[in-house]
Amino acid sequence: MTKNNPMLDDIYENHQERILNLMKYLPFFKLQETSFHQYKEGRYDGLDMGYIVMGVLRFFLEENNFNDRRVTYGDYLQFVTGLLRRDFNLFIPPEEEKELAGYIFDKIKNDGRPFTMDYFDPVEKKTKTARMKLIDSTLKDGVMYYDITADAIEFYLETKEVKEGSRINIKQLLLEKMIETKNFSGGLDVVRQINSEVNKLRMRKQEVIKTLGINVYEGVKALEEFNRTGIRWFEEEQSAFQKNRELIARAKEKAEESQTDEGAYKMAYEEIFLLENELLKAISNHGKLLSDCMELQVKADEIIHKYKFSRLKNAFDFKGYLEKARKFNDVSLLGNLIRPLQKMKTKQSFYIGQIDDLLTQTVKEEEEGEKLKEEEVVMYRFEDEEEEERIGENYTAIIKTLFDTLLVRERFDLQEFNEILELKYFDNIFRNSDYYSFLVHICQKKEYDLSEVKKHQDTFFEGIVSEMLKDAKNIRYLNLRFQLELLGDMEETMLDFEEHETERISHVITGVDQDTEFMTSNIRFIRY
Amino acid sequence: MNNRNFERAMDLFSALIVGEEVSKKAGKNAELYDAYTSNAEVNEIVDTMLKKLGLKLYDSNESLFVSAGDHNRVFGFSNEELKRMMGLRLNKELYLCYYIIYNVMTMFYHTSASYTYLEYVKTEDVIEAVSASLKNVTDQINLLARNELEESSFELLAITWDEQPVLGKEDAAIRASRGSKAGYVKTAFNFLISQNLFAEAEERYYPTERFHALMRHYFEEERGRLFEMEQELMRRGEEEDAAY
Repeated sequence: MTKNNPMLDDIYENHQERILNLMKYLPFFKLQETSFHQYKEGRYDGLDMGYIVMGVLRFFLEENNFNDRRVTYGDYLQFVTGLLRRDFNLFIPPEEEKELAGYIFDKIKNDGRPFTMDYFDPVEKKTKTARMKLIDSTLKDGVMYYDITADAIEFYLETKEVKEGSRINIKQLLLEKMIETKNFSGGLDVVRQINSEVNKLRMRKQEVIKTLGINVYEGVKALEEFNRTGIRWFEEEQSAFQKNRELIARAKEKAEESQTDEGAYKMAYEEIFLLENELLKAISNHGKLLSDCMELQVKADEIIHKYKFSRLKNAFDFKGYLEKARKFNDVSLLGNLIRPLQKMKTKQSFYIGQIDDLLTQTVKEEEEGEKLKEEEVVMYRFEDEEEEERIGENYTAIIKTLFDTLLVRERFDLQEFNEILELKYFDNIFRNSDYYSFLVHICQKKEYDLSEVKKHQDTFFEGIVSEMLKDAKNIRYLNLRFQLELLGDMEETMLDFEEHETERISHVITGVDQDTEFMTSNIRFIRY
Repeated sequence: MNNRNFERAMDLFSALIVGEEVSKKAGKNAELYDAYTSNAEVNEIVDTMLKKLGLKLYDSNESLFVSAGDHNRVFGFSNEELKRMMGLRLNKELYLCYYIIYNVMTMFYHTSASYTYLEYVKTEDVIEAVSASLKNVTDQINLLARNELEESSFELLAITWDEQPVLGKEDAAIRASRGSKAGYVKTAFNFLISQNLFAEAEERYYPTERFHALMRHYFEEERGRLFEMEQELMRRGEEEDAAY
């Protein structure tokens, strides 16, 4: 039953592989649990074993794989004591320090035994034990050397994406180690990981382009990061590939040479063949990655260039729009943001409500002619017309006063007349130029018979008087006759002078700044 | 004018009008996309026709998208039509949906140029966002005389939202309805999905390429005009006067 079900197959057949994979993490968690509680009455309780283990592993990786050096206990001691001082501020006597480092070393080495884990193998239906060591030791020329194991390298690398160094490079180191230990099937896994690593970088390149399209600043950052972590190691990676190819070729030769055991040879040769194939695939992928990176650079330049041009454009601020809509307190304004996002309305329909309009619409029986409005004639009044009107009004007022006075008194002079005017109009009248021009006009004739003036007018003054007489209210003046005498230039009439009459009269005009004064001849008005 | 080019342009135009996808990236009508981008005459004919009809075309990520803008009498929808499409009855319900959609938009874009890198949203995120953004208004509701509120006011919007239970009583699964906050959000999303702006997978709503294209391009181009709300309100008043 299990044979035909891929899910059950997976559970059943791959269980062992999964456990072995998980096994890599076991030593770390076991060590992490190791507290320093029991050691020296808990004096070093503050130390963290997990951190120390990671540090030590990294140190071994550096020395063994990057510097190609084997580590002695002295090297280890120096590193660990340095770490304890630097990271835990632990300054203790050298003897005690040495003892502590030894304790830690024993723990990492699990007192010389591999870390173990029991598990059930469903294929063989047995309980098995998985083993793993972090540090291996070999005796050479009387000196004990320590090396990090392949499992420990794998564990270390999987705990974090190594950003600073090239992941591909580190995997290659692992591969190298595996080929050297003739673990070809393990090597195959590593190459597959390298392959997926390369593919990951190619996918990352796509992401960088996408980010650039959305936000140039973020995109440029991502591009820099990509160049720093992905591309920088390219050359080293390629030489590592070359080195591994050579190693595989050598392994192939060796396998061919030692043809003692036919079955074992065949198996080893097959594994090497698969490994080589996979490595070639990785190398070709790696090559594609390079061209991808070139393309990325070109595209990135293009996008950045384009962005520089459009950078001056302002973006639409959605929050600002809402704020403004809130100011008008009108939510419906948000519709302006929603409607543009809609699809086209392609189903066009006739609005039902229009039928009502069609039915109720009344048509007029006959056409109506255009109605013309009567336009008002606008009258313009010129300045001189306005002036004439003013003069007329002022003269009429003065003339009326004069005539009324004449009707009451037989004779009086200008000075008396002025007093009457002043009573009536206050001294404002003497500041009015019309008063003086009136005097000039009235003096043009010496005698006036109003009944004659009504029929025939000789002067401008008479014109105004005749206009005035047309009014029925002024009919009482119609029979008035009077004469004027200028006192200044009439020698013969001097006899008739009355005492209070003066030859000349002065007119004082009170101004804003100062008063001005001038003289005119006195005039005598005589009714006859 | 070349007859063949004219035919091409018409093909593209009709594809855009009926809402077909024109995308080189997605391999839909890719040859029409090529014609538009590489053939000057096709480009000009299509642009002219769209412009005369008041439509706007955006070329984004090797795809073409068209928008009717916000006041297109022929290709745009009226509020009444929108209500019918969303299954709503009252204006205040429509405005609430507007507001929910606005919040969804701003979850992805603060401005037309700043994408928030959010991949998807869920109903509860939207409910939270709407409640948070209406909090100021909700806090003051008690002081207002309800019957004096305009139907398009933010206060009535906040009341309408505040009165809804988060989930409807009848069932656990969220359905589009006018009975709960989740129901309204679902209504809004159903509409967004029908407009090809969002896609749903397991109650997660992912924005589509069309959404991104319109958000980035339309609003950037129209930003000046959209902010002239005084004129918009005046114009609306005139339209209403003309209707009576």
